[in-house]
Amino acid sequence: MLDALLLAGVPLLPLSAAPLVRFLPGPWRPALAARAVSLSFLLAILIWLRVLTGGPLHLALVSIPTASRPITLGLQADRLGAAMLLLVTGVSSLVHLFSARAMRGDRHERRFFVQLGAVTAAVLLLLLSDSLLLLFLCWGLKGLLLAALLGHYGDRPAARRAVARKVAIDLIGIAAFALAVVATWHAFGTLDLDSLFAQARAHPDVRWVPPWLHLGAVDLIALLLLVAAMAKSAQVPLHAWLPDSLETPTPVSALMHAGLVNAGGFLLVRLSPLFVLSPFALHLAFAVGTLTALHGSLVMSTRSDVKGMLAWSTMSQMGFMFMECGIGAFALAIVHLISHGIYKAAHFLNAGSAVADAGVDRALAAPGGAPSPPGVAARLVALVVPLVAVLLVHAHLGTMPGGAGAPLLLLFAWATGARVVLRVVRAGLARPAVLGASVAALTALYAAYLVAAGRFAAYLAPVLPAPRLVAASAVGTVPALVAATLALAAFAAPWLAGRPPFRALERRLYVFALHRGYVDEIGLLVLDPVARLARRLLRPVGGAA
Amino acid sequence: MIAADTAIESTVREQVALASQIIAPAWPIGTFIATNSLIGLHDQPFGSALDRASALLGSRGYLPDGAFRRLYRQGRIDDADLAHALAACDPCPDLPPTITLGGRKIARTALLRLCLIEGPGDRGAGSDRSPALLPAARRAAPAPALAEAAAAALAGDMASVGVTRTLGDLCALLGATDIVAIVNDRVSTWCAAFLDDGQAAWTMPGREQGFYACWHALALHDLSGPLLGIRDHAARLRALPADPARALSSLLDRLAIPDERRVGYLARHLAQLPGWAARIRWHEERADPASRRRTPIDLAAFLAVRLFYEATLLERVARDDWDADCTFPALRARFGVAPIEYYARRLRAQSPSPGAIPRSADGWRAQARALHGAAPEDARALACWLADLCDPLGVPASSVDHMPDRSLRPLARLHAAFGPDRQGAVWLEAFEHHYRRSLLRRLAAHAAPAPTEPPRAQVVCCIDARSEGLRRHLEGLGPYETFGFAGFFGVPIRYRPFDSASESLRCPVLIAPRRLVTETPLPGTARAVRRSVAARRAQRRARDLAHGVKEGALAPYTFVEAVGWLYALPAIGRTLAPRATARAASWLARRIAPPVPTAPAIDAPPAHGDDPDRPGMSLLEQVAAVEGALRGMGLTGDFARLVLLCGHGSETTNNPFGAALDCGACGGNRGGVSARVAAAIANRPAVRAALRERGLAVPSTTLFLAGEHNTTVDTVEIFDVPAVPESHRGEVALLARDLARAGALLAAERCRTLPDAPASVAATRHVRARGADWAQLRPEWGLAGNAAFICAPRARTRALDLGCRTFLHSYDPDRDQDGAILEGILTAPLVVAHWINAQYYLSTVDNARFGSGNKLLHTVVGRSGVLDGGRGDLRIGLPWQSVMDGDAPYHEPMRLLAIVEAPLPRIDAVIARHALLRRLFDHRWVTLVAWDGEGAAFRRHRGAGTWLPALSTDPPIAAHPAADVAVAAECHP
Repeated sequence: MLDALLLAGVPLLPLSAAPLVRFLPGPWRPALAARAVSLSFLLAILIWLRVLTGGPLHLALVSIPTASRPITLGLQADRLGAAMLLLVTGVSSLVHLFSARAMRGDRHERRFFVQLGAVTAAVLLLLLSDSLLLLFLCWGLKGLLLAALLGHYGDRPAARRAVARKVAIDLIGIAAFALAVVATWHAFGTLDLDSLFAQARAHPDVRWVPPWLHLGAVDLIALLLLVAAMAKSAQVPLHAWLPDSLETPTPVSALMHAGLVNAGGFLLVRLSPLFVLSPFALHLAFAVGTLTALHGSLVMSTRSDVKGMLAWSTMSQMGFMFMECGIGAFALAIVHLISHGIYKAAHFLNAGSAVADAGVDRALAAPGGAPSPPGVAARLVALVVPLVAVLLVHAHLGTMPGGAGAPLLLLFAWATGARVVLRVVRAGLARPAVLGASVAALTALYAAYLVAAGRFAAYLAPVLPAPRLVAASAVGTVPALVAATLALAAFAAPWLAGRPPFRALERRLYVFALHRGYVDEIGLLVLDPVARLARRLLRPVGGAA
Repeated sequence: MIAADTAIESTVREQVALASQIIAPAWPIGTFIATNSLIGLHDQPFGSALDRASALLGSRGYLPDGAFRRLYRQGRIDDADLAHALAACDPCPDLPPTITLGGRKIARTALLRLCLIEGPGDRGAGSDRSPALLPAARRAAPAPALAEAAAAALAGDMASVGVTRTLGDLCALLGATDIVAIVNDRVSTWCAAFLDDGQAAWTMPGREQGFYACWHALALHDLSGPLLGIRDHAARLRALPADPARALSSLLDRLAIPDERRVGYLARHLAQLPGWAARIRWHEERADPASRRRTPIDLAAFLAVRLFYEATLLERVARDDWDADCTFPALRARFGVAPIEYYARRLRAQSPSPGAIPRSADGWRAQARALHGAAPEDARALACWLADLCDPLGVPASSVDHMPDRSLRPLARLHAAFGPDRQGAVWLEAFEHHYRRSLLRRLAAHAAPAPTEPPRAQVVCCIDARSEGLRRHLEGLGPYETFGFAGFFGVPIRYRPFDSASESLRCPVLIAPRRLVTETPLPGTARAVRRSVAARRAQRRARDLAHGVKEGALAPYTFVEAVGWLYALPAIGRTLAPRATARAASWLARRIAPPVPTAPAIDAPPAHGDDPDRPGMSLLEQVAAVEGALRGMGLTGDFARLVLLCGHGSETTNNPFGAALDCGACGGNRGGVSARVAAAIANRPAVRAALRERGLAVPSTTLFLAGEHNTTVDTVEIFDVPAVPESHRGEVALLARDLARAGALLAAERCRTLPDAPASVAATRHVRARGADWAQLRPEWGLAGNAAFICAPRARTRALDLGCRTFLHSYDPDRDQDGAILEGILTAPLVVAHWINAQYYLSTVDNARFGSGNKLLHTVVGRSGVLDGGRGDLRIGLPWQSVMDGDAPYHEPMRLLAIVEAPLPRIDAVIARHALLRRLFDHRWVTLVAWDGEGAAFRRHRGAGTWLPALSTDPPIAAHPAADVAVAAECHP
């Protein structure tokens, strides 16, 4: 009974506050909405504690009778869901409290809090869904509610365009998801997640699609779900909505980049028992993720506005999360998702500090201008020492979660370490003592992080597929290293740039990145004709009516 | 050949300079300077400048009529004000004294008043009865026939090209591709990248060559041109001249814009992207040499890039849509032979369902006829207006129908001149009249009690409107004498804080300071200095590291994954307990690097000799500065034992517009530094001795102190207290206590107007939390509400609650017989006050055009400005949250009322010497009222050396031959 109350309470509190907000007098509205969500956060803590001690909680909601067997919809909080509840209710509380002050006097303040509460509730329901159907419904609902929030300043043409693009791409995702639901029902006769996983594991070679496609049902379902996840998490090429998504109040951006874009990653992990049965889908996720990470970081590096930088950084981090899923490091993907969510929310809410920050940076500028670039020897040290440190840590602790693709994660860790050491060297601190201390600190930090990540992986293990299954289908060492080479090239680009043979290439790449990969122009070329066509098709209908 | 090129260049540059009058330089947001956005239009009367701005920028110049009507209902405007305004600027001079409406005769004044307060036509209430009035309205305002309408539209539009429209505007008008939007998008992208001040990790390559060359090199690789359908994009780029001015000239030639229309054409181009244009103008005229070297850019280059995109896109549109060449004469000829087609295209663009594009002349004619018939006609609006007018008069609609044409025509004229949204000028006049009348009456009636005891301390505050509150409350607490003076206290310097790499300019932007003053540690603080320097070095490295890790290509992923969650701590703290978090942070900062006791190093080092840019000030300069300030504020005798120079600054967080709340007289910085330097100079024995020689004896017992009024939390910090001699300690402590009490009273007063603020009990705590709150978009109201500038001795205003709406400049007319001090005040502080006032006025009446819009949408671009949602034009001016509370304006937008206590001849003489002042007063940008303190008579300046009684109770003035001319020119309708 208590469990049922807890489970129902978490999404219901923000949801029920929404209609109340509609009728309350001014000052109470934001306060009530913020309190409801904060209470929901407290419930999420309770749920997490219950799950930790007593296993998953479950609450059956409805049962829809069908010809074969009933479709049941219910709420379920397992270790994954409980952890995600903490993130979403936490960030949403923060955003609500922030908005309560920041949105003061806004023309549509009331509507704003209604939508904010509703979208929070939709995400919470999504996290608690125990069935593919409920997952799908929340998925669609969340997308539409988010589009409504994006259109908060609907009198601005740019905001209307942002909504149009968001809805268009969401529709692709929703359509793919809908097909996946239908395919699942046909192939496995169930939509309940647990029984779906069991069925799929038991009959991995069910075929429901035309034989000439050479796809198993699992492959098809996984592929469709991957498309849905890509649309939600701004993966190339379904990222065209992202640049426009800043046409909304700052707190919405914070919630969106911290909580809502993560839904794609959550879907991959939630359905990881299914995805590990489809090596093809996992490999594709990895490839898409790599491309997205590279593209996102390339465009990000040319952004001269704070929110633009944050938005494109989100895109590249989402790409990284997909890469982690691709190599089977599902637990790490969730660590990334939570950590990045908090990081990004804090940065968005703090976006107004950039001017004061610039003042501090100017005051702090080194007396002699920018420090001279370090020499070859220093660079070698900066590259080799962290590599040795990372390898030593791994040798000591055993490998990361993520099987054969783990070298990729090592590479990223190494790159981070090298970057830090390079900066230390560049700051003119190449004394052995300082270098040694910084490398030691880095190593300790990295070891602590690995231990923590390992603990989290152990915590999530019950809801994740068995390592044996992961190892069989996840991206292996070779593709991971190919991606690593690509990434290394990106790492080397700043060094190569500015040297004569690369100057033209640098300019070309810069202009490409500055224009966000021409996403607007392509959007214009693709979306405009579609919109015109839609209008032409709709006109007779309107005329007849 | 070379001579010809040079001539072309200088002609184009001249045209660009003339065109740039439509925009004012926009300072970087870190040192926000409130300026009059229409400063280039000063040579026109206020009303026509607003009209010009409206034609070019599409801006509104006055509050909406509805907002004025709300003010009327609130009693902020009354019937006497309306009567005055209608008399002062007649909106419809040819209206007969009585007007007939449906058989009823109405006096002209009554009808005008009705138009104002009932607001017929914009309520829409009459729309259901308007069909009955439509026939009458059609008779009054007959719709033109198709051929006439087409010819008129064509002629009007073609005449507007190069005046208020570009050829790109014509495209949008005719429903072709919106070229202006595309050009704006292109150019904004390039400007945002080029003018970046250290935000992007990957800086635009080749910036040092200048905007045009840099763009030219990069645009060759830009695929968006071809994607947008520009043919031979790269070839066209290569064909452009290397010099931006010549490129601009050749592009204007390509479009064949006639010479006499080029200035207007370029002005409209600037007005299409006014934010970036204004920032570039700042760059061209005001930026420091280092940043000019780093990112060389000027308006000619900006316009050349704009015109390149316009010309290439226009070529495509003209070819594909209109089958014509893209020059202006070609387009004029193309449509000159087909006015009906032109008109039909124009109507199609406005129609929601225009139907298929016709293929023949007959098809165009048919469509033009159909659309012309359906188009909204003037008669409909007139009918609506008439219906609303009949309502309060109780005139039945049917009776209007029987009116003869002859009596309908005046009504149509009235509607055209004074219909909805054409009443702003009259309303503004009434609104200003109300404030002016009540302020002048209060001043006239006010008799401040003469101080009974000598002042315990003299406090000199900035003229900033917020200082008025502090001064009033402090004076209420004891025998304190206060003065108002520009917050840089007459010491224009460049200032470099201790151990800082950056300098700031600490004076009004009208002055270019040369002397550098550096903050240096006091002797005997070597240990603290070492610690502080080390801490700053560590801080620098930590920030450098953080930047490096966040911006690297591969580094951020593991970093974010490993430590991103740590950001939860500050985020939660700053949301739930902003004040405590801020205190903890500053405690931590003090623990790491305890503040070092310092003093400003003012003296010039002897080694530098006569270098004009040498650091430090010579003794002569120091004495001149202090003398100028003391004489300027009228503090030349009766010195108290303490003189506090009190600057002001704000304290906000997460606020890109923080500098807009700081001291404008200190170049958009906090004012404490200037106070500190000025006090240090004034305390030097050598300076005192020199002052005595110049007849300004400051007693040796007088101590100058420096302080800073924190306007966000209403506290006053007194600097360098440990250095106060034993003899003055007790008095300083007493002053500090009274300042704290005055601050608390002011905080309580301000909490009554701050949104979401509690009752006065918790006021001090509330304002502190407010300043530290990262979610608070209205930390304080700043200068919102400012309305008047009073240049008079404090005795005239002491103990009078002016509601923090007035700039108070101390001025003693008896000690300024030659008018030199008055000249200084009218040409500097008054001008700055006007800039601030105009900034608040324009940002309030049209926040979308002149202000910077909603803070919630802003993203800081290039670390020096804001954009809406990450693209488009740079937003300049004040944000919506700074001037509006909900949908109602918090700031009451009215032109500055300058009240100067001085004899008329003296004021006239000063005005006669300065064209700038003549423009300000004659063209009604500022209302000047002269105050003859003795008889308490006010005279309002009316231009061309004529004065009028400002209050109805003031005695009349002998007639002046120029008075009639002045009356006609007073109000531009």
